[in-house]
Amino acid sequence: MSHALWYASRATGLVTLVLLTSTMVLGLLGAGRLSSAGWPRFAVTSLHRNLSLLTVTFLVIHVATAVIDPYAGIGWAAAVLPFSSSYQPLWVGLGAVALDLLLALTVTSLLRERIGLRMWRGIHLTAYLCWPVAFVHGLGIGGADTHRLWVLSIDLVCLLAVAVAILQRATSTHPDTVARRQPHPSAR
Amino acid sequence: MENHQRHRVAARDRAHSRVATATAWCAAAGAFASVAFGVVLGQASASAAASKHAVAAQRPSRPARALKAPKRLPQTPHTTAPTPAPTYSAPPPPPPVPTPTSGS
Repeated sequence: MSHALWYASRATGLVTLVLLTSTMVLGLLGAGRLSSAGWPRFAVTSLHRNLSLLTVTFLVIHVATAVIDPYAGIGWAAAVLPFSSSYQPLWVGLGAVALDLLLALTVTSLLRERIGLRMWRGIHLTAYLCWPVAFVHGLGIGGADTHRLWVLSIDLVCLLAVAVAILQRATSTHPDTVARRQPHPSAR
Repeated sequence: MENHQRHRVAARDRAHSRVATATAWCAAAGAFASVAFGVVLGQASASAAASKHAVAAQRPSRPARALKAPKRLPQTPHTTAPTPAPTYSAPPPPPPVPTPTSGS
């Protein structure tokens, strides 16, 4: 039984990384105003929101199976409080940081109307920290699994996807941004 | 104008439908991948353990990662020294039965 929990935790961790990467990429593409006739911006944003909730779901399964598995002895507190675990404190701690950041991102997005756009945007920028922390957590705690070719391939594809999306976001110039940067005609 | 409006609503509905379909596919793919990854990881670890002639009771692939995991003490069989068989010494001779003496 505990063997199944261990492998379930590892597997859902990998799936969570893939989903988090997809969420991150969609968020970056949406912020870069990338859209098409079939996929208008609101659809990209909706999918980004749905995938983020799906990511949280798989993350909860990942954490729960890791905590319930008695081998490592990771408690619920250690899963949330960074660097308080006796089992691989650095790597589990990074996972806890990523979990806290993702929860903060999700909750503030759900409360976006109440907290205001500026605060939401400020907190949402921590997504740029959440993904690398989660990625390094997976690399570090994966141990022998990380050296398997297919696991390494998944990691590399995720890294490449995020890198390309960030590059696209950084270089994208859309009419909204251009209009915002230009001085208002009435101000002249 | 009304036709254009109808066209926009239809396009929006199609986009909503695409989002729902993509979300459902992602959820299904995530569930399938979780099971598949778990099975593949388990099989890979089991085969690695078999090639190393690991003991069946040990968890495969864990020693590499479980650097700080609590270690169980090796179970050693009880080594109780055989108790020597009790040596019985010869029972002491029964006390001499007093012979009845006739009255003097």
